[in-house]
Amino acid sequence: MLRTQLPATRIVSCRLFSTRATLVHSRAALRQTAQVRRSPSLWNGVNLTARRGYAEPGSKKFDRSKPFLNIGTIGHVDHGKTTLTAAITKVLAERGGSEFMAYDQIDKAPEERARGITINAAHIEYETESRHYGHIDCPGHADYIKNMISGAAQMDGAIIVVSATDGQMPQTREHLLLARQVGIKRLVVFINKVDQISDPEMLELVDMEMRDLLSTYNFDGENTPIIMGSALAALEGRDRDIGADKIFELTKACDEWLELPLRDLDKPFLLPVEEIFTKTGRGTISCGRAERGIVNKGDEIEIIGYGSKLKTTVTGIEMFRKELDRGEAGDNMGILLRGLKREQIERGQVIAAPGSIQSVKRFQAQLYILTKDEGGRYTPFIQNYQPQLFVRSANVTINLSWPEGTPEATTRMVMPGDNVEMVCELVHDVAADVGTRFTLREGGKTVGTGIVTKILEVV
Amino acid sequence: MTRPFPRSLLPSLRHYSTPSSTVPIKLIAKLRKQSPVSLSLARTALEASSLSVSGALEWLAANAATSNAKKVDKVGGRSTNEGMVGVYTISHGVTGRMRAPVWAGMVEMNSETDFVARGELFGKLLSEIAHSAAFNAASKERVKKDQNKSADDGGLMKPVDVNELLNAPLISFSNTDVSGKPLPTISDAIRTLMGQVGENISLRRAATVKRDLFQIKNVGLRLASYGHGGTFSIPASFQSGRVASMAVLALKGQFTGDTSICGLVRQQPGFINDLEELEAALVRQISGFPTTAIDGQSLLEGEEAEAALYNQQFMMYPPASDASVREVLEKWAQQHDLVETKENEGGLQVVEFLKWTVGGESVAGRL
Repeated sequence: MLRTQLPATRIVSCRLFSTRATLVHSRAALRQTAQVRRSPSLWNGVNLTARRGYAEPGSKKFDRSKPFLNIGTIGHVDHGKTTLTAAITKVLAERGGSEFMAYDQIDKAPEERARGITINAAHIEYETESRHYGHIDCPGHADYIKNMISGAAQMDGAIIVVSATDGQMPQTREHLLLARQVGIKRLVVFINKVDQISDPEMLELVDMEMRDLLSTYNFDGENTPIIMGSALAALEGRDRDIGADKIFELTKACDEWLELPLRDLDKPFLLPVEEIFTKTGRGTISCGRAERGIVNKGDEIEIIGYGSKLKTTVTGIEMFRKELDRGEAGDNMGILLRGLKREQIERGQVIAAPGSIQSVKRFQAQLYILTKDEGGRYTPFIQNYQPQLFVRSANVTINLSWPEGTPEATTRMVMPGDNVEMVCELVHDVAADVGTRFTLREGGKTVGTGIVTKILEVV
Repeated sequence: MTRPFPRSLLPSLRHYSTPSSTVPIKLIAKLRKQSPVSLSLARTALEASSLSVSGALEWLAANAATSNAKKVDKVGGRSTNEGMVGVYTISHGVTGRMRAPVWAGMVEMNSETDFVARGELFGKLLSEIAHSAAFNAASKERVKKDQNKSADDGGLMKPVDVNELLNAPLISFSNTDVSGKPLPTISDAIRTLMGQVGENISLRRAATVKRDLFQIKNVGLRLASYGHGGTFSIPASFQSGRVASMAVLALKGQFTGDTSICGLVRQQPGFINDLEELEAALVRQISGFPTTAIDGQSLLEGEEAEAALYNQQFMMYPPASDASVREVLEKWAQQHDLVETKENEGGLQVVEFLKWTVGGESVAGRL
């Protein structure tokens, strides 16, 4: 599953071990698909429908004007996650912000439909007045954690669905734990099936219990919006007051309560150094693809990683042998730095806005260890295992150990397929943040992926 | 306080469109904190027991079968692909004090999502079923002996018939109730859990081991178990996880006269500690590595030598450095006076293991 989803991950993860040539190639491919979207008329009659993710001929343009947010539904199998998703697309379609997806369009695979429940992440989108949402249905704990760590599916916020007839269930705790674990800070609760309950006091109880539980798991129980309605009523177009209106209220609560992640362009500048050239008469040029932010000629920058903390100024930016005044996230550029000697910079370091990123020697990370079928190890390991860490263009040896206080740390083992939280100690420091993704490799194969959760020691 | 209408007399248990109830929500909340039943069932139970929480708990226990029926029917046909394997150990085998039997039960229980399998309710029930399975096998074996029927194929670990187990009583290790009330069956307990979590739960397989060697003085058996990644465990008796295994080891001393294996253990302080450390490493090695046999000779054609436990580098035992499992066992037996040199008869051997993966095959190895 991981493999099939890897192409969908952000380029960040691919770039870790691809050469520059493949990089350029993959970006070219991306540009082509972008063109397809821009001029669909050119492709009329060409069948592009076979694969998920490609725009169909004559389909609408992808509108980028609204901020984008990935949202997921989490909840018990029978509490109506898919019905709610269908209802949201229907209600928003009526208001012009979405395309209606029927229940069985969301629940695609036949065996899923036979079971009546969803297992795979569905790819649904909808727009409210102020935002554009991508919708993920959360398959299961282990599956989701794996996708989150590898970057295949990221939830920025979530809707917890609870049925009014059952109230929270024992596994609701596990749902909240998952949300915590994948770094979701804010949730919206939808209490479904209220038409099956006539007693308003019971609804109060569901509300009260949910707020209690949210607070127990360090969410803001008091202020989390809890919306009560019936997704089925909305889908069937009856009882507006508990149906469509409530669904609209829910999307509004998402707009207002869930926080937008920062866009790459709005983040401080960062460029992983991939190649270095010396041009006579001009100086040292460092090349790479800007990961985030914007850089202008004359900006102060810092070279971070492998013990360096060198500060200098950008004296020139080049792209395709042409000079620029400004480079931004996604650009494959060369940067000319004032007074920089060839020996002062190397592949694996990053050029970043001063103070925006630290060079890290030890950190805690959530790891997913690939199974044999995914191309990973077939044997387990215990602590002090030392694979290679690939992060951006850097490659260093890393030592894995259990966090302090872990019981039976010396004999505790990690098996392929596990997701674990471990302490990573690097031989050389590299630039990293909380949320930085990386890959672990050993003897020519990828054995795991990870995401930094806590910085323990900086240089 | 007004007396509630005795709703329990009505045939249906769910009343979605009844007029406003007189059950205070605080009581419902209190009841749900003690027993995770659905809201509507909590209300019904409280109404049936004149708003007493303890009464409602009793009502729930007494009416478990009928009150869950609707939910159980609804979810009963769905496929269960997640779950856990659990091992409950009643006795670890020989110690310095006595030649105790090796005695344990291993069970795989499945659910629809791993959210449920990770929950405490699921883990607790799994441990109790594994515990019951161990007892179930014990009683069955006695019957067999009485009838002089030896269906014994020589193996120590025996599969348990799942349907039989479902109808057996759930013997909870935490049960202190001596009132003589009939115990719920395992099937009842599973149905109750299905009612609580709203998912189909099924029992896939079960096995037990129970053996003592009272007659043979110089041989002792030991049992080790491991579960990988389970969220519910009881130190020294219950382990669970997506992969779990149990292994039986045999200790054979090379001595004569009155000395017994117990005496040998008693003479060496720290013997049991050392042994437990080694056992834990062995059973981890079996669980973690793609182990299919104990000795290289019992490997099937086409299997790599590494699939035999004894040929593997003993990575799960840090003192081993680069030695193989076989070498470590030989050395250990010498160091602990079981044998004088490795050519001598006796020592320490892994005689049998059983490894299950959730939804996967059953791997058994025998020396």
